[in-house]
Amino acid sequence: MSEMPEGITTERVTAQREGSDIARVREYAIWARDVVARAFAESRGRSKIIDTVSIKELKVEKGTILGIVGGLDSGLGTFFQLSTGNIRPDKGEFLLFGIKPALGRKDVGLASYRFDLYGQLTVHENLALLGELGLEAGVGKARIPEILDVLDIGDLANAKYRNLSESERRLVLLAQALLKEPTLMLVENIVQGLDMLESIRVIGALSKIINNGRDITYLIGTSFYDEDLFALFTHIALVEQGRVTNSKRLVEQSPSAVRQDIVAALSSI
Amino acid sequence: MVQVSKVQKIAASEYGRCVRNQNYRLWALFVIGFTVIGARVLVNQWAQPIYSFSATEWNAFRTLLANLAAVYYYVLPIFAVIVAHDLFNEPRDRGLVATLSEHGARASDIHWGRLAGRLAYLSLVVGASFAAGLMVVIVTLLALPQSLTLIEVERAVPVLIFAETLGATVFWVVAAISCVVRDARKSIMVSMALLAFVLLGATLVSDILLYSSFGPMPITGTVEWGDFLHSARNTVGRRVYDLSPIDTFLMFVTFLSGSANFSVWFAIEVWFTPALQTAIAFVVFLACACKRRLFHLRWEQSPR
Repeated sequence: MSEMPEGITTERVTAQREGSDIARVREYAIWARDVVARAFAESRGRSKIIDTVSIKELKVEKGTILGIVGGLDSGLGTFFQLSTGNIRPDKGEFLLFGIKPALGRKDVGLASYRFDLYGQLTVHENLALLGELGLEAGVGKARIPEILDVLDIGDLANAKYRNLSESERRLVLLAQALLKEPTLMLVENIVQGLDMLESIRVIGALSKIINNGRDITYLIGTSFYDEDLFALFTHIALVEQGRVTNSKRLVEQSPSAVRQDIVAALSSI
Repeated sequence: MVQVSKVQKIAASEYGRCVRNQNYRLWALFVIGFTVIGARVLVNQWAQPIYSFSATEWNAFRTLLANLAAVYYYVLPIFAVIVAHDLFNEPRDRGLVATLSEHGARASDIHWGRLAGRLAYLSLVVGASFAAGLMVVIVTLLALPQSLTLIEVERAVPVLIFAETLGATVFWVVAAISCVVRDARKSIMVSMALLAFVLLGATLVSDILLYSSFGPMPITGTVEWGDFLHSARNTVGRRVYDLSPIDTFLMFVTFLSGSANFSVWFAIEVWFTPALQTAIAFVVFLACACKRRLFHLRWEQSPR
């Protein structure tokens, strides 16, 4: 039996090893292993499982633009609920920058087609309200003009949210996610239900944010094939029947290559 | 001491603002209704002593206000149902809660904030309406001609007042609850609002039937019964339509306790009206329960 060097206890060695593991995990924007998570819905006072997501392994490096692709009933929505801390894993570990997801995290921004804002308030009022909720006094408000400029919707600042077109609303939802200046940006089906021209506008704005120079990791979920959107991805992962594949680097981002990657990944599930 | 979080305060103010804007037309009707009813109450309580009306003028003026108020007793339940429906059906509400939650607001904070917002707004509406009612009274008293002659049509039937008061009370309570309770119990609330509406409608129908059968009640009858009332409210000897809703309620209790001796007219009103109301209400309620839908109202929460 080998002897410990003087002054170093077993507990300290274990702690050092755990410390280095945690440091490694923190290197990843998303780190998940052996995760099983269930989404529930309440109906007449009873909880019912509506979806289950399982992840064997998912590692997303910082700075990645990961496209996570899945059908409408594939479990994509549940995956996003898991990512935002809306549901917790029943098994395994799911970490964002080494920390469990939680609602209201300041380093994570979420823009989802499911989101909505106060229709009677203007864009600026809505964003100011959200800024006031999640950030220090005045911080969110000060960021609004810059964010609106980046998204090219500065002229909508005083327009009531309910009077906006669907694509303009999606842009405002992107804006609210940027308020926190997140290091991880989750974008869930942001072009769902939009027509072609509207999609082009929203994807163009998303592209502008990505190319804005800030060091943000993107997780962009989509249930639809859109060449412009797919061209933004550096990595891709799939969700099918609740199972999430590990992310795969896209070497060539041409539409046909991406499509081939999707087909290959689907056949491996 | 209960701490009100920032989220609650913001949710209260913003939600109050949204409710106000969303329903401003309907709320306007509520304000008018409260104004008229408030004016009636104020006139009954305070106006007579400060203005030397003759009995005829006084009765005519009060009848005018009473009939205006009665219109609102009958009409407003419809709007109560619409408002309740409007408030309960917030189709994009879940998206809003999701957004607020994502920015750190707890769902309970949002709901409590909304509750506070709705209550605060309701208080504002009621307060403003009664203030407006006071103004109406003052202006009317100043402008009223001295030689006013209108036919006295108000009936001296306490139970009718009681039925109206009961219906109106149910309606206002439902309207108030509708403003503060969220969609989980909306079917009950809407049912109650409809029931209140039916109750009032039935009162109207039974009145018409009674009048067509028996003619109007004497208007100068006096209350000559009720030791209970005598001790409680000193009502004996007062004209019946001078009674407040509380007096009327106490009279009703006295009658039910068997200590009163009424004329046949009163007995018919007491028994016939509620029986018809109950029957109609029951039939309508049963039909609604079977059909589950009425006037395109949602009776159940849509599946999540």
